[in-house]
Order: sequence, then structure tokens, then C-alpha cells
Amino acid sequence: MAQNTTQHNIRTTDIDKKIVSSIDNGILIVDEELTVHHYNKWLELQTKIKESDILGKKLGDIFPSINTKTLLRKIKTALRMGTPTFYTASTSKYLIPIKINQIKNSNFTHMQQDVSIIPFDHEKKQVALILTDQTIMAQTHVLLQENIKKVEELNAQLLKEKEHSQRQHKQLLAHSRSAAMGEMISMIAHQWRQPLSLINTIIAGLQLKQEMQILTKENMHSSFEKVEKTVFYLSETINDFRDYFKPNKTITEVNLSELFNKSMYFLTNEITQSDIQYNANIDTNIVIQTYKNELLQCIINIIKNSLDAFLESDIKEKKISINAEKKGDMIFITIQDNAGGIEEEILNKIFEPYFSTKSKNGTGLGLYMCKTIISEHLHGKITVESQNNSTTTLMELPYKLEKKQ
Amino acid sequence: MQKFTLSEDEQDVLQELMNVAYGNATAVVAEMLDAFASLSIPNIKVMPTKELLQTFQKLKESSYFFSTQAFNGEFNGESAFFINEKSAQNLAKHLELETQEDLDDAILELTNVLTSTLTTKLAQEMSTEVSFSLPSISKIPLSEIENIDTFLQYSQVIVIDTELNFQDQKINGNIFILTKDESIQWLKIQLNTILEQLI
Repeated sequence: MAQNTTQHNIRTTDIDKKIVSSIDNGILIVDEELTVHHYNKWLELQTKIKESDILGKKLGDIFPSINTKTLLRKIKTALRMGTPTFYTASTSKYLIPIKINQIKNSNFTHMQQDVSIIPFDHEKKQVALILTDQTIMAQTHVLLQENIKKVEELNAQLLKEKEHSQRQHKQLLAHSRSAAMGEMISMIAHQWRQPLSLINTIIAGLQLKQEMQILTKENMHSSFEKVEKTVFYLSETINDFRDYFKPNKTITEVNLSELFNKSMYFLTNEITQSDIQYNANIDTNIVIQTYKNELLQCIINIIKNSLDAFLESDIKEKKISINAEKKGDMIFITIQDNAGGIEEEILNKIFEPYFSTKSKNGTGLGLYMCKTIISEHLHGKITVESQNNSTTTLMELPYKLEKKQ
Repeated sequence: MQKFTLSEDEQDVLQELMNVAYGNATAVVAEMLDAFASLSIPNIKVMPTKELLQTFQKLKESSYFFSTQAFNGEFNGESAFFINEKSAQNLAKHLELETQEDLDDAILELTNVLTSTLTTKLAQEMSTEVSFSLPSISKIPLSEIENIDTFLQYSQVIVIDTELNFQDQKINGNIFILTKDESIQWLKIQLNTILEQLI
């Protein structure tokens, strides 16, 4: 039995020794005075100091970079507690200075170490220091931190750019609104031209009759009535424009056919003057839920673009055709003209702000505003296709728009 | 739910054991810091993790350093230690530490001392052992507290709250011992064994 125990002890000691000498960790034993009592093979190889040269010497004398005050505190605490104390590479970098051979891709000159200080012999006040190489982990950590910093910087830049773009977008919308106002004034001018000329004629007639001294009370009364009626019409025109160009706050039910008729009310003078054949094929029963005035603005804008295109082309049979069709939950509206078409290379730029092909009075904001209104407010889509001499604008809109964003 | 909460008797025994463990911890901390130290009587509570995370959130607001350490064995879990900035500065002054790295190291050491002395003593009283793994001890930036998914593994947590005082330099710390349900069940069995022996 005694022999077995001895054999067991020898074998265990042998195993322990082998493990301690071949393990991929540094193991050294020191006492409370920091005198070295064991220095394993790994440490010999890494520090190029033989165990025989270090045994009995003070650790602080061999490695002056060690903060002996902190080390002694940790040793005493470990012995007092009977449980380990530690150094971690993340805060303490290293205990034993071991230069790194690998020059490539390293942020460190010395091996980064985790160190466990384990109570070894309470009577002799000895502890075992176990060193683990954490250089790769530390290197990975540094790389990770660098990349996190880069990502944070990129993110901050992105946020800045987003803010800038949002600011720009707001400015553009403000410009668009001014441009739309300009369009409106131009349309009012169109509407007013004829009644103003009528008033002018009535007044000229009155003057002529007075000069010829044939002006009667009846003449005057009838002329004033006509002027009054015409002025009322002028005033009504302004009210109509104001009502229809004010953005809607609420979603309402809109009869699509009536909405197109309304657009014609604003554009009919120009269509007639340009001798354009206007044809709308819209089911009178189609009623959609949307922001009425916003949609009307888009329709007028698109038809106005066709009218302007006709002004700059020399087309014989001018045509604008409107079609509307309900498919599932969506309404598909197409506005087609034969005003010459759009060249392919500029087709993908037409929704960009400040892009205009018009020779005069083009702000380049009309289609940009249409796209913004349709995608952001009406939750739809607008696309433009061009073939031969014809341009087709397709608007896809939800049949029932739920709520404003 | 009942099996993860402590009865009044169980809590009493745990409080007694903790008082002993804290006596031990005080002595070690005093030696470590070479100063007269006292610890307030620990306040023991078992609380759901959700409540704990709310407590962490509150502590975070007063700019605390935060570190964790895992312990293994029949009684296993994780400890979380908070120390506020003023206390950390006092600690640095007392230990004559010059760099942030040295201060971080001292905070980790304090975490280790408190965790080790508390859990070891508790384990001893319950005839078991605990071991401490080095890689689990780390200083975690407070901004990352919410990201520590591991805390969600705990449904109930034993919270041991105490205040450390060193001479006239006040160093306040809060330590939380987090254990999983199975460890609380194990703890209940051990506490009941002790209770039976007392009768």
C-alpha cells in the first residue's frame, strides 16, 4: 500500500513536472519577498533567462519594469484570501517583459499577458504566477476598436450628410412651392386675359358712345352689369385657385373624373389656344381616397408640361389622352401626349431638382415636386416613358390612402 | 416561482452567512489597501433580473465604473461590481495610483477580492468549492450594460448590497451576485440543511 502511494506520488510529480515544463504558459513561483523558486521551460525560452540563473533572485531585480508594490499587494491578497488574484492584459498589458519577434501586423512591442496569482504554499508564503499570452486577443481588440472608431466616424458623417440632404430637400420644397405659386399666377393671368379684355371693350364702347353723345341710361346700366358680372368671375377665379392650391390636411373621397374636369377648368384656355385635342377616358364611378389638392397639383403640372412641350414643337395633330384604371388596391392613371417625346439620356434626370429642358420659364422643380408629393404624401409611384414622339406619365396611387405620414 | 424565492428563515441564514463572509472580506480588503476598512451590514435581496437591470440603469446614471467576474462550481454565477467615479478617484489617491490603467487594475482587484471572499466563504459554509476564471473579469464600459445578453440568462438574482468605508476616504461600492435558477435551488437546499442542523 505504502509502495503504491509512493509510486503514485512519483508518477504524479513526474506528470506535474512534465506538464509544467511543456505547457504553453509561463509558470513561476515566488514568495512574499518576490524571491524566485521556480521558473518553467516556457519562461526560459521566452525571456532567454535560464532557471538556474534566476532561482533565489528577486523578480524585481531581474525585471526592473515590474511594479513591485502592486505585485506584492496582489500576492498578499491571494495568500490572505486563499483564492487567486489577477492581472489582465486589457488593463495591465504585461508583467514579465517579453519582446515580440513577429514584427508584421503588431501594435505591441511586448507580449500582452493575463496573469493568475495562485496561492501555492501557505506556510512558505509562496504563490504561483501563471502567464498566458494574450497578444493575439489584444491585437484583435485593437483592430476591433479601430474599426469601431471608423464605423462611428462613417456613421457620424452619414448622419451629417443625411441632415444636409434633409435641409436641402426642405429648401427645394420651399422653392417648389414658390414655383407652383408662379405657375398659379401665370394660370390666373391666362384666365383673366379674356375677361379683362371684355371689361376694356365695354369701357371703350361706353367712352365711344359718350363722345358720340348717344350714351343712354340703358346702355350704361347694361354695361355696368356686364362689368360687374365679369369682375365677379375674376374674383371667383382667384377663389378657385386659392381653394385648389392650398394643401389638404385631411384625406377625402375624390371623384377622379371630376378632378380631371377641374384641371381642365384651369387649363382649358391654353388647350384651346394651342389647338390640342384633349381626350379623357375615365370611368365616372371611380372614387378614390386621397389628398385632393395635392393630386390636382400633380395632374395640372404634368398636363402643363405637355402644353409647354407642344409650344416648343411643331406637331400637326396635337393630342393629350388621359386614362384611369383600377387594379386591385391601386389606381393607374396615364397621361399621354404626342409632343415630341423625351430623349433617352435625359429621361432618368427629369425628376431631379432644377432639371429643365424648357427654353424659358422652366424652374426645373415641377416634376421633382410631383414625385415628392406622390411618393411621400400620396404613397404612390410616378414613372415616365417615352417612345417615338409620345411621352406617357404613369401614376400608381393607392385606391384608399389610409393616413398622412 | 416559489422555488426560486427565499423564505424568511432561508434569508436569515443567508444573511448570517453573508455577515461572516463580509467580515472576512473586510479584513482582506483592509489588508489589501493597508487601511482601516469597514463594511456596512450587507442588504440581501432576491429579485427578478428585470428589476436588476432597472437598478443597473439607475446606477449608470451616476457614472459608475462597472466590472464583472464569473465563478464556477456547484454554486455558480457572475458578480457585478459598481463603484462611482468619486470613489474610484479616492481609491486611486489612497493607493497612489498614477495612471488610468493602474486604477482599472485596482478596481478589478477590488471586484475580485469581494467576489472571491464572498463566494468562497459562502461555499465553505456549504461544504463546496468555487473557482474563478480569469478571462471573465473585465471592466465593461457603462454604455454597454444594455448589451450584456448574459444577464438575461438569470431569472432571479441574489443582490448583496454594501458600502465600503476606508478611514476618512469614502469608497462606495455595490456588488451584485448573480446566480441562475439552478444555483438558487441548490442554495435553498444547502440553507435548509443548515437550518435543520440548527433545530
